[in-house]
Amino acid sequence: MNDPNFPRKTHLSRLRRWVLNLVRGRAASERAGSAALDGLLAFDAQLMSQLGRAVGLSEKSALDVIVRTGNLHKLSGNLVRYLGEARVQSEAMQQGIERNSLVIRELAAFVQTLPQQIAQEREQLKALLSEVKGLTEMTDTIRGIARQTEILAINAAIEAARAGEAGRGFAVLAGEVRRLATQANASAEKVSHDIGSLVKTVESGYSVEFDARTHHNEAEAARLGGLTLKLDEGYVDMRQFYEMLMTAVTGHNTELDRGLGLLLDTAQTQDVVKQIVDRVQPAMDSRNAVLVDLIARLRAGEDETLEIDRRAGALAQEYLEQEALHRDPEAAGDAAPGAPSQRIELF
Amino acid sequence: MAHILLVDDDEILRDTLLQMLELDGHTVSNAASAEEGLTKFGGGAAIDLVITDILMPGMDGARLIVELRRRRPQMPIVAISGGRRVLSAEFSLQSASLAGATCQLAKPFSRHELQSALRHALPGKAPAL
Repeated sequence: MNDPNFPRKTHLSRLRRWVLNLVRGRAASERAGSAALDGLLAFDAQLMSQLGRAVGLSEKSALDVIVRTGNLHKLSGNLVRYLGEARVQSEAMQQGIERNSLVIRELAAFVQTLPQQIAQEREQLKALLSEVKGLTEMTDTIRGIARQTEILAINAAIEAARAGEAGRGFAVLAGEVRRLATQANASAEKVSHDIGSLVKTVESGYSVEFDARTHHNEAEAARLGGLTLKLDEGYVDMRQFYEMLMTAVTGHNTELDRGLGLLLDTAQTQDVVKQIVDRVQPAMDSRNAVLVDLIARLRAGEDETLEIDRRAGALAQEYLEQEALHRDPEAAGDAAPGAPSQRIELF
Repeated sequence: MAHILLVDDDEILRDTLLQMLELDGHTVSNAASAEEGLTKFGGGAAIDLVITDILMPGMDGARLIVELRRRRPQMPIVAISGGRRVLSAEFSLQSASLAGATCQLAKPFSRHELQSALRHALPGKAPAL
């Protein structure tokens, strides 16, 4: 086909005019060419229809992409806002945790002082009791010495009486010794009494100090108990915060996943469009081959084009049958359950 | 009029909301916890809408919403919250929204606000003002 006027890249209707010009004046050839070209034009219309459908699908999927991307954008915006609020909450809880850590430190410091305090009090008490016991033993010794001295004086007085006149001076001496023993005994009694008073005073003073310390410890324990309760509340809040965060983010991701799935569906539609266009190309090639044969025959002056007519009709039939094997993505959800689905080829 | 399941651990608020809803002609089932709410939801009664608090002991409202959505994806759910201590109402309600709540109300709210929320969540079954 070396004719420079051959309209290679134009619509078949122009080609039809060109062919009819080629055989103008040859009535039989005009009729034959016209009939064959009508068949090819019908096939061309089928191809155009499929390309139109591909364009429609492409436009619709582009719109779907816009809508679905918009939805994803809205979803991600929601997540960003939510995470912003979660950050505010987290910071508030962080402050709570820092306050709570102070409470824990105070509690630990308080508890740590208790054993030392108790040990110190026990040591003080032991030392005091030891000293008091020492003093008590000393008075017992004095009392014992006084008693022995008194017995000795009585014995001396008896011996002095038995000695008569010679023992008179010794009797005076024994009487003095006995008086001293009585005085020593009285002093020991007084010291013992004074120690008793001292113990009572110490006990009383110690008790006041102990009571004050106990009251302080009770107040401190109550204060720390209240703070510990708040610590527990803070823990409950934190646990619920993270649970809600996980629930919300998981729920959001499920929605995001669904949105991405829909977007992928749309991408698959684009692939279907590509396949439609790809199938048009070999059909066009077959149609052009028939056309070239037709033109060659008409140029050669052949009027018999029945075979060309048959081939043109077969091309259209074959193309439609092939197209019917491929599922329309828009009708994907319309198939009755259990019905055999048409083939869809992706990627 | 709708059959509403009301879930809130605060007895006073629950009673107040119950009266508000019954005044508008709704039938109300109520539950003091998310767990009880799930039991009542699955108990066979045809629930049209769920109103749930978010910050509750045990299972929280956000998890309840997820579970309700799993059981009935189209169920209208109104989330309510007033926050608690450091947990703000805004954070609670945003959590509910991401978990799948239809709409949210911050406590305290008026009867009018409740009616508006119900009309939004349940068009055709909530009374017009």
